[in-house]
Amino acid sequence: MRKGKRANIQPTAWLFALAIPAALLFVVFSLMPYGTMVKQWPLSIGQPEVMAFQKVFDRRPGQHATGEAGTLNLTSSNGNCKTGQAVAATETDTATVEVRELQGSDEGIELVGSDAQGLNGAERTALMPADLSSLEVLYAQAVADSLPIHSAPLDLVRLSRCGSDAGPFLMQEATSPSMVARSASASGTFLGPDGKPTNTSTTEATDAARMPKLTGAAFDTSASAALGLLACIEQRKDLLNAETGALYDGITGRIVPLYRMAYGADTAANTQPLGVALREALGTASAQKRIQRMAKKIHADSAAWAQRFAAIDSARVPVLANGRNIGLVQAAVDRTREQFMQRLFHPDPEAFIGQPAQTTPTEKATLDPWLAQFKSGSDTLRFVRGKYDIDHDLDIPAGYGVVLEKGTRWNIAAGVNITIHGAFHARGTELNPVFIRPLDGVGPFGSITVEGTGDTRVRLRGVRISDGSEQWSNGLHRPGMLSFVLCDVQVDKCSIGSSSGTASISVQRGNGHVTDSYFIGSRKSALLFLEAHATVERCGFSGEGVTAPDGISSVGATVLVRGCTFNRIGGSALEFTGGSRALVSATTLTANNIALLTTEGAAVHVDACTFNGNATAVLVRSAASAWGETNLVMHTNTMTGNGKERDVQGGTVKDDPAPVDPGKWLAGAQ
Amino acid sequence: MGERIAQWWHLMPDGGSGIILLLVELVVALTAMGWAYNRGYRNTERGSVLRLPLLTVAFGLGLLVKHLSEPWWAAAVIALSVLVAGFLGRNDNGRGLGLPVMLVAALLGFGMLISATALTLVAMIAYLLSPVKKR
Repeated sequence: MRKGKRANIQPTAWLFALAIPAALLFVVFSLMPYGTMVKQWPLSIGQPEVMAFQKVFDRRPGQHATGEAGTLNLTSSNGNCKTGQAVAATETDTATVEVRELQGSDEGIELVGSDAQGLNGAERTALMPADLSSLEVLYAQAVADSLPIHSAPLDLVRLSRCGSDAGPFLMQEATSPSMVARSASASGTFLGPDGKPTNTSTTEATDAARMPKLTGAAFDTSASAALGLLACIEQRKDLLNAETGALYDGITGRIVPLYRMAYGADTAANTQPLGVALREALGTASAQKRIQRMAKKIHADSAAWAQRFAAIDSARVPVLANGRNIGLVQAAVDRTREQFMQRLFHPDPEAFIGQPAQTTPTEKATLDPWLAQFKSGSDTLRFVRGKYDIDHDLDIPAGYGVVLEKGTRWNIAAGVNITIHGAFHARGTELNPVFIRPLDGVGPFGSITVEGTGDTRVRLRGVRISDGSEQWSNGLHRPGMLSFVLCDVQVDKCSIGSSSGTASISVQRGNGHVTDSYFIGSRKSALLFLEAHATVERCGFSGEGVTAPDGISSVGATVLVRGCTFNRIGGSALEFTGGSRALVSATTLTANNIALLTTEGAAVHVDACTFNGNATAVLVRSAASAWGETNLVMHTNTMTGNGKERDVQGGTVKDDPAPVDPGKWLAGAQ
Repeated sequence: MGERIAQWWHLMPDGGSGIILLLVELVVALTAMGWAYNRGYRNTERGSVLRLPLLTVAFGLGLLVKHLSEPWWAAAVIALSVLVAGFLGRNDNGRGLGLPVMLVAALLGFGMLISATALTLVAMIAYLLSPVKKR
């Protein structure tokens, strides 16, 4: 018996074969409650497929959500807006950019500014296609904005590519060195996932002492916990890899991780140094407790958070819904918000980050045996009149103050550094000063550094110091022969000689008050203020015998200079950069190369000063910087015999005859 | 019992549950299509409801599609399998089981279960309504 064969399928069979499943799908998707539709479906059925069928087969009547968002227009002369050169325009800015694929994303794009100044001043802008699932990204950004972690603002725009609507996109400035420079302090620098600062020169890259110390302990605890919480909420391993990079504080050595929206699929744990160190920071019991505490604090404010998310919904959902049925949108939004809040209020860092490692208590730093003889009481090292040769590095642990009594003479061997983690007092007098000098016949000593905690007292009076240099330790630069970090410094009646380092005295953060002192022969800066509040009064600065030194250099600091004299300084007598604010009052500047240099967004007032015989009296530059425009206000000053009175390129120089009260100015500046 | 199943489940390599689920889904789809295909024949002319060679090839295709991350490769593999299935089914007036099974396997490999179900249903109805030439 021959087996029968099927005939060609008849048109009626095709009709029924297509019509019956289609009718079934219409019935199912038009009758199914939206709450059920947006739930997790069984058998790994994904939401994208469900939503695709809903879009085609859900024919129930209802309103369709639509909304407006800002527009980002990409136009290109060659008609290709997917890659290559294009002009990007928003309501507020227009820039020429290069359109590239966003690294780590299948669908995202990146706009790179052609001259490092792209759209809205950003070097790089990331764009990710947005839909209803992007609500979680917007929620997470709202949480990130409330936590002590740095991230660029997130915006929702409708992208138009060469005239055709590409739908809604999430837009955020990508983390980059310029973003960090614009939003962080002058000493902050961007640290890539490889753990190398972007401002590292080749010399520094080969010197281990100049590289940041990448350990878990170096991470800022609050910012790390915030990032850990966000990683748990969003279930993002890429955040634990620190792929976003970090902000490195060049003064304290703290590493602050950065946050950004996700670029598509998540990544597995990698072995990049920064990620390894971050996971070490988050892999301790205390870090995970901190995450829980953060979540608890947010939970205590749950009503306010619900309101905040509802506000995001009402503003963003109509755009993200893309014309979908409002009932479905509402159900999806409710479910997304509920799940997000569940993860926000009850994070499980142990499950997501890993079990916390047992930490061994750190050994208490011990006192150098040589110093034991100087112990006076339980917490002071007192050096009385006499000569002390110091031939090895000294690290004086926290809990000890150092006092140099009158007539003390420290002779320090070449390259030797002294680091004090407590108060430092020198009590010299006119007749019996305190001397700090290098050991006879050898090169300059390193640096005497006081590592403070914010208000650590440093009181120096009657000190004669010279021939020191600077030090690098664990990636941190201590630029002065005398370096003070986070200290409350008073220097009075001192004589500061030459230093072969970056500065004779440096004050990094904290406060500095220098009075009635004399600076001579500094090879670079006599006084360097980095993000400090400082006053310099009745001091003399002389550049004799040295080529191109500077007097006072200020980077991101607030400085009052009053009643000082600057003579024959070969570089700049006064230099204000990095967004510094300064008042120079009643000061005489004579025979200097540049008497006053202001640049990089500094705001300087000059009042009642005398500029006499300088090659250039006032030099103003407004180089592209993160601190905006340079501003100089010249009040009533005397200018005589200067080669050039004003050399201004960019920036704003105003003349205002009204005098400035230094006391009021200082109060206003602080 | 549940605990025992969970224990065994954890012994599976990562993604093992997905592979078993794919196999089960394919078995169900093939059985349904095979049953509908057989309806037109006399009892003596009917083949087996679940055709094992077809299941093996379809499972292979499903696995391949599931693990190919590059969309172009997946598209090429599906196109090739559809061509081969069409070629092998030419003696069956183009209505053999091969073609729809390959398409269903590809959809299941992509994780599109609703689409695969709909296509299975279409194939079943088409088979049920298409007559068989008798000798």
